[in-house]
Amino acid sequence: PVPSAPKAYVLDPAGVATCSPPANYVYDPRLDEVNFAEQGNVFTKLPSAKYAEGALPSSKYAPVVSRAPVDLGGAACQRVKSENGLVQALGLAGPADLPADGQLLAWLVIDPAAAVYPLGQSEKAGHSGLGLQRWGWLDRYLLAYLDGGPIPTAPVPNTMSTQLLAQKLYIPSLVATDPADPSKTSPGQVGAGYDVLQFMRNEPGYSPLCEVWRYNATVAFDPDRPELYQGPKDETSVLAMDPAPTRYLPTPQEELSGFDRRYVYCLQVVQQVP
Amino acid sequence: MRKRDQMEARLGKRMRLLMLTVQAVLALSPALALAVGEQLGRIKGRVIDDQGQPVAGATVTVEGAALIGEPRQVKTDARGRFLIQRLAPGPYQVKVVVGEEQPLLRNASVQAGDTASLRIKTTEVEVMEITGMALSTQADAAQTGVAVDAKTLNKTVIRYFGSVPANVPGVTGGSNIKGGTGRNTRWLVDGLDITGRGGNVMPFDSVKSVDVVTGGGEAQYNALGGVVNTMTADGSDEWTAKASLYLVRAWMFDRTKAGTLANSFEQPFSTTRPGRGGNYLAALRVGGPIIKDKFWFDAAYKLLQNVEPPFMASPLGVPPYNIQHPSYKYTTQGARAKLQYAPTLRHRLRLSANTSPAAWDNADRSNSRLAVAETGAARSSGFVIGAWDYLLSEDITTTLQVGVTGSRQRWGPQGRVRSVDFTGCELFSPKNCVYDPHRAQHTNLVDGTRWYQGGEDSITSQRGFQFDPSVSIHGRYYGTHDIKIGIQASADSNNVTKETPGGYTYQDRKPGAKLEDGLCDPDNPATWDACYRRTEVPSVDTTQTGYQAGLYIQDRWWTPLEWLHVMPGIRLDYGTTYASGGEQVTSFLGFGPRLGLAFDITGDGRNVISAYYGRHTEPMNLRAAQRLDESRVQTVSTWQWDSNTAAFDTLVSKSGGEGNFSVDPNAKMPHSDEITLVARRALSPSLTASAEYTYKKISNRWATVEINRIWDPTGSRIVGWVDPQKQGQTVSFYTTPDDNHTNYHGASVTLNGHPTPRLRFLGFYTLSWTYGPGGGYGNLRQRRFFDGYLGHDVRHQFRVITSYDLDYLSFGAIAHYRSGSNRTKRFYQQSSGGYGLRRSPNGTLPLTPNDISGVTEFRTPDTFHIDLRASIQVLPVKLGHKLRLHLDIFNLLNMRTATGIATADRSNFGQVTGRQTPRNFRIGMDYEF
Repeated sequence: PVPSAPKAYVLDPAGVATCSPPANYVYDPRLDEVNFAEQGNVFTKLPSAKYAEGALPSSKYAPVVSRAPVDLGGAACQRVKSENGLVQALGLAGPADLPADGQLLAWLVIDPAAAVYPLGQSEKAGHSGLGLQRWGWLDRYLLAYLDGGPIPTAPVPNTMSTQLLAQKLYIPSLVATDPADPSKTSPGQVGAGYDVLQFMRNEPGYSPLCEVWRYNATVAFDPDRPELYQGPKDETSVLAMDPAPTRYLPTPQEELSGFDRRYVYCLQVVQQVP
Repeated sequence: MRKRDQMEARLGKRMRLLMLTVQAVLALSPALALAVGEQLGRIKGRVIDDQGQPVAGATVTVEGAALIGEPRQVKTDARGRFLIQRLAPGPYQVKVVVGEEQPLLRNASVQAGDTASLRIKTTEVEVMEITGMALSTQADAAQTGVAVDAKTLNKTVIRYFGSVPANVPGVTGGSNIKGGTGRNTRWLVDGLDITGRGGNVMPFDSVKSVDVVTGGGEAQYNALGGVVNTMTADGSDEWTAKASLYLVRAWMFDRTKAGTLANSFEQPFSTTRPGRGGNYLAALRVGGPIIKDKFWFDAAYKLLQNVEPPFMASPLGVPPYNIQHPSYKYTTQGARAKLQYAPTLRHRLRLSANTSPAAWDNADRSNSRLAVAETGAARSSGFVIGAWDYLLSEDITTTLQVGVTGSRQRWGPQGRVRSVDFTGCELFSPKNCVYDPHRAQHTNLVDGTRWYQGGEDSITSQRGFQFDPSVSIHGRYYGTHDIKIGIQASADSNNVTKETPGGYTYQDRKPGAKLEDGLCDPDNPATWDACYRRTEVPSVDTTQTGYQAGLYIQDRWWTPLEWLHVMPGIRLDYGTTYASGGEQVTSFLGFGPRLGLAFDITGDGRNVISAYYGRHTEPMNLRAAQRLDESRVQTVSTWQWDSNTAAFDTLVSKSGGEGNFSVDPNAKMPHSDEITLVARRALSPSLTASAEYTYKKISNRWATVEINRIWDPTGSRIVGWVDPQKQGQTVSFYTTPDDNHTNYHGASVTLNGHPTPRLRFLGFYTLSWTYGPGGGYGNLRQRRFFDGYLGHDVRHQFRVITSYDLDYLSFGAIAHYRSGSNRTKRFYQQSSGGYGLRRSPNGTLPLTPNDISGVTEFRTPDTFHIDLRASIQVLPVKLGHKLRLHLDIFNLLNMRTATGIATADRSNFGQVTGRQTPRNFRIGMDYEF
């Protein structure tokens, strides 16, 4: 069986809107809160977290949904804003009539007001922080998410289980972050700006799930001037520096905290029209 | 013999006591101010025999101390009814003579716009009837509100007529009346509308009564909120005078409770103390006859000065500077004179003048600036009112009222408007010890300090002319009719000049550099690392004019059914405004139908139910023209420093300029629709209970809609501009959207009157909701979150105003409980870099993100306070002179409930930012004869 995940209804399964826009409709980005020539996908569950006074929220949220493709059959665009609304619009008995197709998607629900910048962009550079996120619906509320694409899976040999397939993410063993003192180094970290992923989004081996590997090298990386980074930027360069990288092993502190960094979500998203 | 002497001789001491009682009862009675401009009241009644049959042809004579000229006399009609109009507020004696019978004597007290109703049986020859009962149940009107007279006010701590409305049911703080904000409330003085005309205030001792009309307004009224009609003393045939003095010193404030707030007085870990501030109020009033029975005068003067030395706090009030910032000082004077002349029985003339200059020094009260960067202000204002009543007959009266107002207010740099106290300037650069009126202001963004100059120099001059002719007709056609027809016309002009010293303000920023070290001088390269932004603000000089005229007809029809009054009314209003250069900006024609029904369900005036519907309009508002004018001539632009070019040449934002502000030519007129239901019952001749419910919707409120920015779905980020050539430019459209409305639901129960001769009492509980869209047009994506409880929404309110008199002592108290004020949690907004983003409707905050539909009401805690006055009369009563000493205690229980909390989604969210003022005292004395 496919690992369980909340359903998400994909309302343009073939990548083409199956809804009908209003007659002679032209999207007015000033007045229209959403584009009524499109239909946002419908989620069924929000991330949840535990909140306590004096502590940061904690969460076990996994950005994975089960795809349930639905053809709206020409219903009015953006009329459907919830699972119940979808069931009613299609005249079905219940959500069970709209089953998932077994494909898992890496869709990461984010704060709708959060800015998401392309690599090298920033608010200071005049970027609005819009364009990478997509908009969907949950129980009539507009929802923002990052679309990391399908998660490849494969049967686990000799079992009835299915496993998620990850691509590799490489980090260096040491990083020199102080340009004034290159001898001053610290262990490489995931997500610090020098990750190297095995595959691009449009390549066959792509997965939004990454297994962390460490290559034995020291790279220079100035967090204040990331554009000066000269280290490896693809797997070939990594392997040239260290032909035998190793799987990341959690530190004793990470083991104690239970926070496992061996696998991370590494969604690559496609620029949308803002 | 004086008229009062004549009366007293006839009625005796017993009667005199009764007169006092009646006055006291009516002091808190709901009032019916008939009209904007109404200064007089009337007495109506019905004379019946012991069988309940009407007595026709009886002679009814009215006289009283407030009535200048000869007594007024009418005869009852075939239904036994009579009406005497145009009576000045005050106590009256009504004498009814039927044939050769012994005269029947009754007492009645009249208030402005009020009808005192009498029901006189020819068999009841005793004088012992208190007529306030019929008045307070309002058998012939549907209006709501309360009138409070000077006698009542003087028993309490209130010393300002503007504080009176908050003590009336239906008022949700300040002068927010039944869904309207303070801006929607019309302020009248002796009938002249002084709303928004330069902060005219009056000597408090010249106030005779304050009538607060909260609803059910007849056709003479046109106010989206309510009306506060202040009546001033007229003079009389007796000489009267009053002198008073009140003092407040710093030591009169309770300082025992520590806190971190400015008004906490005791600061933890600080040995500094505030300076010796305080205030005093001195006032004098004199009134009397110039020619007895014909020509009266009343004059008053007051002087109020309030001095508040700010706390010595960071950064300039602490070591190493230890500068005691100059005191904030507010000084105001008020002078008022009124003449009343009655050359004949048919003519009555009134003329009054008022002036109220004021000045403010060091109004910012901040330790973040020296006095050279302080703000000062000065105001001169005044108004003159003339009125002529002509009684064609007892059934027809004409009135002409004319008023002129003028004011000039200037707010600006302390050095321009007032004079600078250079204390502590020697600790900084020499620039701080010399005031240059053309030097620009600098703000150090690192520590928030301001330097060299106060803010914008703004002068607003307003002039107004009001012309109100009217005719009142009492007629008989299928019952009796009291019809009033009038015109209310006015012309207003508004001149505004604004100048920013130096033409710029600088926002300087150099990391780690505080005070003057972090300031930028574009001419000094050594300071360029502090240059950040500069705002260019051109000068403005514009004049707007507005004209409006309203025609109204109001009838009070006492139907042949003795228990039914019908009050139909209608008014037609036209208003127009013009910008500088004569361009018409707004033009509105409004129609305001009114209908009231009053059922005297037991036929004796003791149990009355009334219902009302009315539409009020706002035909003229100079604000649209003013904003259009200012936008055209004032393009405010902020530029960022470019270190490559060493100049402020990167545009950050821009507002104003030709074509960037427009007024909707198809805007609809703001208006309100109101339904009010009232039930009143006279529990005793001097105590009335009432319950009222009001629904009001104020529609098509003005709103500024920004039309150039394109927002993302959350309203957090600007993703584009409608006009790409105007990037960074605010383009505004001033209009009256259909969805910009306010709804008010409110129910009150009130107990009002005089349970015993020594006890005055007004107590009420109000449950109300004020909600609606009310804003958000600057960011259409956030619009939905502005639909909620509005800022003046108060859910529960309970207030008691009471006083008790002993022979030489009196005690007055105001106790007030109210629900907390609503707040809205604000989140970081990327476009502004501030915390203006909403994620839940007005008056709420979101719950956890686990439930995006979850919101909860967000209010400050409920507050309760008691203000107490204790007075002692130190001279024997028999002297006829009164010398009273007063002790006022504010916040008797020393409640320190939070009144403000931080609402931004930062680490200090929910932290208290303000509390109730601690317990404090005031001492006073007055002498009166």
